[in-house]
Amino acid sequence: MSSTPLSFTLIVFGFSLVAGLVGSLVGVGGGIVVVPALTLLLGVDIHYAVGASIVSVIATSSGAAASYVRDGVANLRVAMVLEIATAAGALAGAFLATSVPKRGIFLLFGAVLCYTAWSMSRKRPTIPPPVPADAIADRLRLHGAYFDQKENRTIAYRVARVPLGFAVSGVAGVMSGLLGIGGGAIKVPVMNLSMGIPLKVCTATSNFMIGVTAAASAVVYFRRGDVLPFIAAPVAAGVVIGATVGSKLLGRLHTNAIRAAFVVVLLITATQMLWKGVRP
Amino acid sequence: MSEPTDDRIVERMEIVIGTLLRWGVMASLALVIAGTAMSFATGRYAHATTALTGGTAHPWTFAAIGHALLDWRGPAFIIAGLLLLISTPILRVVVSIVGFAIQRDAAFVAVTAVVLALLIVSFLIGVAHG
Repeated sequence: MSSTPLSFTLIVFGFSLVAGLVGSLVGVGGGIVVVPALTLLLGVDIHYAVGASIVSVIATSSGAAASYVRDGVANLRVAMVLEIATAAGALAGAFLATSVPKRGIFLLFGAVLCYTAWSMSRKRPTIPPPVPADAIADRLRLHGAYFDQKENRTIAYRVARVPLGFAVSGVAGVMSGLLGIGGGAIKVPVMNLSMGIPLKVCTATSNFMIGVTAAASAVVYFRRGDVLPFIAAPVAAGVVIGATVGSKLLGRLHTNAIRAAFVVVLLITATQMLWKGVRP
Repeated sequence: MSEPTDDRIVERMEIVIGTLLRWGVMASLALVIAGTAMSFATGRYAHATTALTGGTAHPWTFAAIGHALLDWRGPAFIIAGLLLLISTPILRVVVSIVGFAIQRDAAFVAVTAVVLALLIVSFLIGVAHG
C-alpha cells in the first residue's frame, strides 16, 4: 500500500457512517458491521480492519460515557468486576491475532455473527428471569436499581451467577481482541438471562465496558502497526457521527422492522465471512 | 462505609468525567479529521502509510510524533488523535478508582486497580512485541 487515495478514505467514512447509524438503531457496536464491510466489500486486510474497528469501539463507548453513568443506569460495580475478565481476554485476543490464521478469524467472526443474529431474533424480557441468592454478589454489593424512563419507576434487581458472567466476559474479551468487536453481543444475553440484570442496565453497562476492553487490545494493535491512520481515522469518525445521528433518530423509527432487516443482513454477512474462512 | 455526601461527590465526579470523556472524543476526532484533511491537502501522506505497514519496529515513538506534529505532517495529527482516543478509557478507570476510594470501598479500589494494571500491561507488553 503506497498511498491512500482520497476516494478510498471517503468510502470508508461513508460505510462507517452507515455502520454507526445502523448499529446504534439496532443496539450493536460498530465492529460487527465495520469489519465485514471493510474486509468483504473493500478488500482491506483483516488485521487492519480489526485494528481500525477497535479504535472505533473506544470512540463510541467513551463518546457516550456521559449518559450511561449520569442516568444511573449502568452498574459500575458489575462492570468493573467483569472488566477484569474482559480486559484480560482482550489482551490475550490481541496477541492471539498473530498466531491465529486469517481464515480462522473469518470463521470465528462468521460464528459470532450467527450467534448475534440468533440472539437478536429472540425476545428479550425487560424484567429478567428471577435469580437465586448469590453470596459473591452480596459480598461485593453488586445488586442495584435504576430509574426506568419508560415505566416511570425505579426498578431494583439482584445480581447472581458472577462466576458464569466472569467466564463469559473473558470469552467476550478474547473475541473483542481477536475480531475488533465490542463484545456486548456476547455479554449482554448472559448478563440479562442468567445474571438477573435488566436489559437496559445490561446495555448501558456493556456500552461502558467495551471502551475499556477495546483499550486493552488497542495499544497492541497500534504497536504492531495494525492501526493505519487512513483507515482508522475515517472509521472512528464515521462510526461516532453515525451513532450520534442514530441515537437522535432512535425514538422516531420503527426499530423492530430495522432489527428484522438487520438479522437478515447479519445472516448473509455471516455466510460470507464463513465462506472466506473456508475458501479465502 | 460511604456517607451520603461521599456518594454525592462521586456522583458529581461521574458527571464531570463523562463530560470530559465526551470532549476528549470530540477533540481526538477533530485532530483525526484535521490530520486527514491536512494530509490530502498537502499530499504528504505516503510516508505515513509505508512507515505503518509494520515494516519498521516502533515506527511512531512519542519523539517521532512530536517532530512530525511540529512539521505539520497530517498523519501525525491523526496518530495523536487516535492516541488521545485510546487513552480515554484509562482516564475513565483512574477516575473510578478515585471514586471508590472516596467511598472507602477497598474491595473495589482493588478490583479497579487490577483493571488498570491490565491496561498498563497491555501498553508495556505492546512495546516489547513491537
